[in-house]
Amino acid sequence: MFPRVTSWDNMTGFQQQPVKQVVGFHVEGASPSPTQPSLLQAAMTAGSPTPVIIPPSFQRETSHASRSAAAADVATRVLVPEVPVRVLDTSGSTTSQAIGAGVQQAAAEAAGAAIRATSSSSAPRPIQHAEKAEASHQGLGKVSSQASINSEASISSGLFSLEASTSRTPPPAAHAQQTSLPGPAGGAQSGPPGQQSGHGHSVTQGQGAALAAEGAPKGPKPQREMTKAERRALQESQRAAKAAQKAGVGGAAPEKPVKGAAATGDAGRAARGGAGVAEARPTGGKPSVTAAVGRSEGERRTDTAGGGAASGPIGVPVANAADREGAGTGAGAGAAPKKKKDPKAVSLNSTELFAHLQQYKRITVSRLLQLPAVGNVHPAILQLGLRYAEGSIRGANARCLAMLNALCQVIRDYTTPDGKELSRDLLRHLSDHVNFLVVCRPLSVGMGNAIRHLKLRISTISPDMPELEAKELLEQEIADYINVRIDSADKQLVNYAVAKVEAHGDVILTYAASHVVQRALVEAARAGKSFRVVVMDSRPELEGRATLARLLAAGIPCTYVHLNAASYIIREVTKVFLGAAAVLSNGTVLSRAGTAAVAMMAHAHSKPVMICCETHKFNERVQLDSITHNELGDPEALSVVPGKPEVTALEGWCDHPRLRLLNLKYDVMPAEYVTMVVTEFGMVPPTSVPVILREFRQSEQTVSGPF
Amino acid sequence: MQRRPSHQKLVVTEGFEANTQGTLNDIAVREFHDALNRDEEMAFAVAAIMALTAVIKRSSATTLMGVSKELADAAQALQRVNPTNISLKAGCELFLRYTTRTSALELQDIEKAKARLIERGLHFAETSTRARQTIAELGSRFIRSNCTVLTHGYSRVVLRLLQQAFSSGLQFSVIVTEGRPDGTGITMAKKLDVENIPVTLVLDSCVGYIMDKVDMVLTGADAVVENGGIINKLGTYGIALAAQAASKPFYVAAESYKFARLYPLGQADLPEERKPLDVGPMLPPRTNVINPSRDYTPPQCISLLVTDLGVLTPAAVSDELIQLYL
Repeated sequence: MFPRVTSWDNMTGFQQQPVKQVVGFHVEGASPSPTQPSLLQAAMTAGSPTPVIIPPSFQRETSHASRSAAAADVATRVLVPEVPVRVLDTSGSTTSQAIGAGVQQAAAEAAGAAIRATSSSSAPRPIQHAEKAEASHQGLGKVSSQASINSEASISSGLFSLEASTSRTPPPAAHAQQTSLPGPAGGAQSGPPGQQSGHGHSVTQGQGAALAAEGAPKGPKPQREMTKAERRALQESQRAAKAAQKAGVGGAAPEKPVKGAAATGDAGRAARGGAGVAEARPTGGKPSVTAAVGRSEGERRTDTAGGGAASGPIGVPVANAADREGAGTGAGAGAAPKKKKDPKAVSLNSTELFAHLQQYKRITVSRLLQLPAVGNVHPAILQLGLRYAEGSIRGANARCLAMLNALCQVIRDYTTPDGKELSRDLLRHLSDHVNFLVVCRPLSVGMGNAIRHLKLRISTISPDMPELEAKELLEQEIADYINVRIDSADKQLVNYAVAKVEAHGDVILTYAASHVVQRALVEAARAGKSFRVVVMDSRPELEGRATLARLLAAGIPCTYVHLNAASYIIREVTKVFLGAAAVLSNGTVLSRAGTAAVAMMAHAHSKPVMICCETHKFNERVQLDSITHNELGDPEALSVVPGKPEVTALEGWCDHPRLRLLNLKYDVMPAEYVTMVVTEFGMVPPTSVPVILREFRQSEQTVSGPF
Repeated sequence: MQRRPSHQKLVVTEGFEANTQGTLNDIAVREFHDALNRDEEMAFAVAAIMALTAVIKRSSATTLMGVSKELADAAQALQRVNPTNISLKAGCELFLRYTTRTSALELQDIEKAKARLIERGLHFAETSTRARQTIAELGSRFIRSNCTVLTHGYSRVVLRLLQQAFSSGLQFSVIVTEGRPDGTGITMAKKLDVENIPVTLVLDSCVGYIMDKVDMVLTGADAVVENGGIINKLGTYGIALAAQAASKPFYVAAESYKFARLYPLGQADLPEERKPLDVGPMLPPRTNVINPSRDYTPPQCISLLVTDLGVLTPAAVSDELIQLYL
């Protein structure tokens, strides 16, 4: 379960490298995002048969979608990359050639199917399905030559919808392979790709034939066997045909010049790849690279529209209101008005998968001042919020401490308005402040727990208690919470962690920055233990450098590596100490993005993974993936590579209509990778987290507070 | 203890206190040995608890803090008697934990608190002696007729469990490993034979060979650690791995006073022990010999633990411990 989730996570971002490689859809300069663990990448290319996992949210959507629509979606998606090639190659003559009535219809169909598929969500399905759907629409009993035209048409229609759709749509690797298989066969008779348009066409056809040939035997469905949904999909797709085709033809033409250059440039590579599909590789890649530069505005609009229509859920990277609108309208008709949308409208910084999360926005003073409620916010909280936003206070404990201190000031400066009750009014008052903080940066689990604790105390204050006394009581409560749950807890936890460091010869791996892990290692060194630390780090936060500085200052020998060295370095490691943002009641650990990969690697090598986490960061929630709750960071952070000013591929990414960057802050590791959770109460297995939570809940109910 | 001063007049000086504590420690150690000698069925943990209860009876401390400190010292002294015995350590820790819990309840009256602690100690010792019977009753249900049970080393609770099953009329046979170097398996075989339970003795190295014929593995434990793994006689881990590979259930019978607050990360993480090496005469002089007497079996290899608290999954052990210690 988990590796899948992770691979999904990694696929969702801008980085679709592995898939692209397989499909032969090469984007120049789009190097894999630095945050992507090389290990996972390798794992993905190595390829399980179905590398694409549909997250639950989409499965829900899928439920009402027809199977054929989904299949068609996959088909178009898989075929997309080829499309540009063909159309581009043959642009002048072939396009016109291709406009036999049957072809048009088929194109229309495919486009429609693609569009339809958007509204549904797609399931990863073998290409045969797509072909099947195609074949079944086009008609039973047609001759094979026609079949070839069909598939070709589907391919070129795919172009429109797909070129438009997020070009990074990741077709599952398996599909891609399947598509590429027929390529050589079909294309064998054809000349090298860079050739004349007429040739290009024949290539296409041949390849299409091969595709169809492969698809057909796997069982085209007669129309009467189609499900109702399938039939509806067919109808809709036919209706959608005209619009899509119009757009497509219009869009293809302007690309001619661009293509010419691309074709020559990539001829060699294409030739190596051979035939239709391979041919698609270079040229298919071209548009996306050159798009920003060379494409006419009209075409771009088309793209956007198509993107809106055809981007499927698997085409994760594009997710935004515009797209979903398009999906909602469903058929091709919906695509037409969308042409007028500004491409920028598409470029939000999130993907559809993560659209439910609070989107990252750069917080500035002026922006904060525009908030309606800002006038009532205590200056301490204002300041704190800004510091959260700029990242000068980071780390679960530090953030929680700072918040509690600020709330303490808020309470101190609070006076109950006339005619109101402290316990009620103060709750509301605090909620306003907390809401403000959330705007600056989403709360961490520890902060949420602290707030809940404080609110519980406030709500139990009797109305008879004088205000001054109540405020003192609350301040004391906050001080106790800080002392017991954070400060002393840290100390205690560190003692336990130190006890797990051998006197000699340990090599301890830690990832990014955890205050309490740093402290434990420093204490262990102070206790005279001789060990070495491997500090693992990753872009874009590079928090590990702070850890490194602190450990070096304590005289501990260190090795500094990035996450992509994990598979190498893990062999010399004896123990892994990791911090956590939260530990959930199923033992899942929520931590800085990348931590799960480290834990997974350690688990695979049978190295003990110790999570250091105070119980104030325990939460009753259960989380199975990193999607449902997470935090989005500044996507800009991905585009800039420090120390490498020449890497400019992602410059101006936000103006690119089909590019999204995803900077996730956290990931989750399932309990099976966790050897133990070190808490202030000692070391417990991750399965016992609910027991600790239960004990706390009981003590919270019986006594006034847990301590 | 003859010179035990009345506490009203107690003038605390360093030497005096040390002397008192020394006496108390002596009492504890003597009581511990007495308890062990009195009854060969006596477990180390229970003997330790009896010894600590005796310390409370003789204690002259006027505050609960004082009592706790005396107890902690006495516990240290007991553990010095047998520093590598984990179940002794576990028993002491358990009892100390009980006292702190009790002292939280009875803050006012020191005498009442002491009485209560003594009562608890006796109660604890009593339930502990009953633990084996409880386990035998619970565990004998796991044995079916005509099954073959593999066991390793000599464990009183396993023996009791098998006796119980046999006396209830079940027909089954037991395979016992030899249990080198101390031959505890042979002891086990003898005791089973006395009970007329069919017994087969195999070499320790025969475990993989015999595993096909085995229906379940049942062992005791020196200690049950926090994640539900066990520490037991050397070879248990190997048997557990073999059982896992052959998909045979691996059951552990262990009294709850063997639950220890330990969390080993691996074999190297066990408490160190010094044992005389059992080495053949033919050994080349430069060969190193490693002779541990126990190994750690991780919870992943254990199907169920039969304890006097009930039949637990390994994860539930931690739950019990947390409730005790949190």
